[in-house]
Amino acid sequence: MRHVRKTFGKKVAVEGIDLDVPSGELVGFIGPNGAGKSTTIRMIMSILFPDSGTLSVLGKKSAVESKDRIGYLPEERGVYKKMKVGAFLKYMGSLKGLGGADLTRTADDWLERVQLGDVRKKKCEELSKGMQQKVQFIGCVLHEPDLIILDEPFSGLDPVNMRLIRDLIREQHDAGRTVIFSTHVMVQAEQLCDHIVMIHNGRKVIDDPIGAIRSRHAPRVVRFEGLNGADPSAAVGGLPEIERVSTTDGQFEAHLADGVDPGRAIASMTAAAPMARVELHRPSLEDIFIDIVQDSTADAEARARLRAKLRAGAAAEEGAES
Amino acid sequence: MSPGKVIHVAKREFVATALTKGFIFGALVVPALMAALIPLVAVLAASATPPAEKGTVLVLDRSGEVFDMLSERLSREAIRERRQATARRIAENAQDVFGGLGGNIAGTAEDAVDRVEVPELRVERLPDDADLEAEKQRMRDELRQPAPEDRTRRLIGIIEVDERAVVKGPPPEPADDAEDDADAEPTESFGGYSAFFRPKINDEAVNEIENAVEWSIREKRYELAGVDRDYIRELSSIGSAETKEITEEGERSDSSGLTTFIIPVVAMVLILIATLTGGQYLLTTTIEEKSSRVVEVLLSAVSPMELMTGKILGQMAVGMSLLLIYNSLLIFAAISFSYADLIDPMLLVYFFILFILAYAMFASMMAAIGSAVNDLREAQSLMTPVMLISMVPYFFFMPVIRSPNSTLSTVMSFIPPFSPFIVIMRVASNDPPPAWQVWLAIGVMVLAAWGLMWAAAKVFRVGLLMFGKPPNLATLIKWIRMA
Repeated sequence: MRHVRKTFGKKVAVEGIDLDVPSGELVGFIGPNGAGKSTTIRMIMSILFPDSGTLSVLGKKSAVESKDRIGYLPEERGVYKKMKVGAFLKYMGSLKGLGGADLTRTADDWLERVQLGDVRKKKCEELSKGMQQKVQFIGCVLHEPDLIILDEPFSGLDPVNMRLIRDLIREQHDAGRTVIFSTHVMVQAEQLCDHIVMIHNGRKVIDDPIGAIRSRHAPRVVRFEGLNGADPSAAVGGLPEIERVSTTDGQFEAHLADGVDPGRAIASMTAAAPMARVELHRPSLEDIFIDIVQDSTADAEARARLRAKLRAGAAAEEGAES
Repeated sequence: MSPGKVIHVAKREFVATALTKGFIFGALVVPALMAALIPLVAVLAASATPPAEKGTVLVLDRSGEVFDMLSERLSREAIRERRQATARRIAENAQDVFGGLGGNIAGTAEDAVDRVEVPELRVERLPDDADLEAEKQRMRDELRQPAPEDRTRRLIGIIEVDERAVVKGPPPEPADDAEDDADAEPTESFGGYSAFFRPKINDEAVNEIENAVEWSIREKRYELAGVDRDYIRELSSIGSAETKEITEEGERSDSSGLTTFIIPVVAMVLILIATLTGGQYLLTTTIEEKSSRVVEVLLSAVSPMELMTGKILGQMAVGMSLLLIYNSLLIFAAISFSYADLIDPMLLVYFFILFILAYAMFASMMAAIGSAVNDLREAQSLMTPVMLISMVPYFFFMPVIRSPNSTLSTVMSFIPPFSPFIVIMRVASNDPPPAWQVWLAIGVMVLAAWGLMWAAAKVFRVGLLMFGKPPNLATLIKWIRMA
């Protein structure tokens, strides 16, 4: 992807994204709702066409020429309500160039694997939303594509099925297939991906392996809690190793001053006040995202607002996950 | 474009539409029921005569000659006798036309007449000096009162027979024309009658009364002129005329009604039905794919063009199977009634070519509309122009069939999207246009169909992934320009 730009009317959805996905990678697109993830994916799939910039997919100029080698689960997805599940999968498979008895058997095997072996003869409308989603996932990987693109594959799934799909995605990755998936729930990306692409307001803000991201954003925050409900923040705030103390989600956070070794800081903190808990906080993608998006000078209130916004979008899934 | 994918889409479209209970019921069972109902309806129509009217008819007979005959003619017995005679005549004709089945219908009709009540009319004579206005006022007053116990007491009609009804006389002097006509010899002429009826009297009784008055006047005139009425009647009766067609094989009863009217209309209506059925299904399945969000899943496997082509072909197969079913039934019927030679094989070739073109034009409009809207309700406003277009053939079928080669017919043959319907009526008529004209018209249709498809493909591509605000015609045109 080179300098890809897409606008809808006056609104710029994607603003100059450059992106390379090496084959065999498992890449997560993250970013809040409306960041431009789905638009980017749709352009990769040649369902939308960029206003400017160029794309190449699996060595071809566009996905149109290699549709049969791609499996795509769109965010806006559905099934034919009146069609039987087995017939629907066979139809999807035949559109991808499969055929014959093999196709029937492959479809049946897959249904067994996701514990849907008994719904083959049922009409799609009789299935729950989660079951439909599993059927669609099968439709997407049935033809053993080289590239799998999943747009919000976990939305609407319960924790059991979420784990099932996650395992299936990992399995596809282990089989050497390239997987791109998008989510606005950052935890999911953290659990699954080697490589993270973060999109915000139509721009790419991170494009790194997850390890690199972690090491770059080394922990500089210590979370603590006073013993017996005491408030040790004044004592901690007075330490020379600590730049300032803030509260996030009702927890105290001590921000380390520049150049201070975290180990030394923790030792000083426990000495300064009786502590129930002192913990070096490893930044989550969410924290990193907020760090990047918000200017470092931005006030705590703006950060809290952004965090709330991120969570509101992800509330349901996050709750289910934990 | 991959033909394999197009065929897969078309196949699914056909299976999902034609192999459903609803379609099979609509396509086969409903027409079969209708065919079975036609004789039943005929029987019902024959037996379901309106309730016999009862009432009083006042006659002011200024000529003094008509009343007796009129009164006798309106007696119940006379009316019943006449009706039965008519029913017998219908029965005989029906037997000629329909064979055994017709005989049954006619027999039933005659039975029905035997059972049915005939009007019960009390015919009363008014004195010559009666005040007509007063009687009219009486009728008016009665309207406001509840009907009397004895329905025959109800005043339902007043007949005023002219003084000159049976004897020629000078017309009554108009008040002001003394100057103008002073020189002209006043020509003697016959007068007539006036009839005044209570509102909402059934037309059967009104006809009966009017016919009786006219008949009585006529009979009286014959009598006074000294002509033998039976002789006159004999002179004016021609007997049952027989019209036959000379064909290569021999003679057969006249079928010009079939060729000039029924075959063209049936051919046109069949194409229209098949076109609209396929088009309608195309619209609904497209909207379904959009609203169930299955469309983006499909687009990951096929291009919008492949999807649209496949869908259009699939629904064309649906319309085509309808036509094959109906045509085979009709041809079978034609053969069993030995009219097979009326169906020219070339007509069938034209028929299917014209169906495909008509369908292609309508289907592209339907595909464009279906892809642009979010649900069937939103489609309604965009559908209105398409529906109006599909009604045009109905407006024009009379003039086109009457004169298949008039300027109107010729011009309409070149205006898509109506032209397929006009052309099929012309080629099926007994005066078909020259072949070059038909093929030229087909050429124009091919161009129009191609253009519409091209525009539809653009709208389809943009519309499929557009959700939200329902588009109007202007938006669609913008999409055509944009894509």
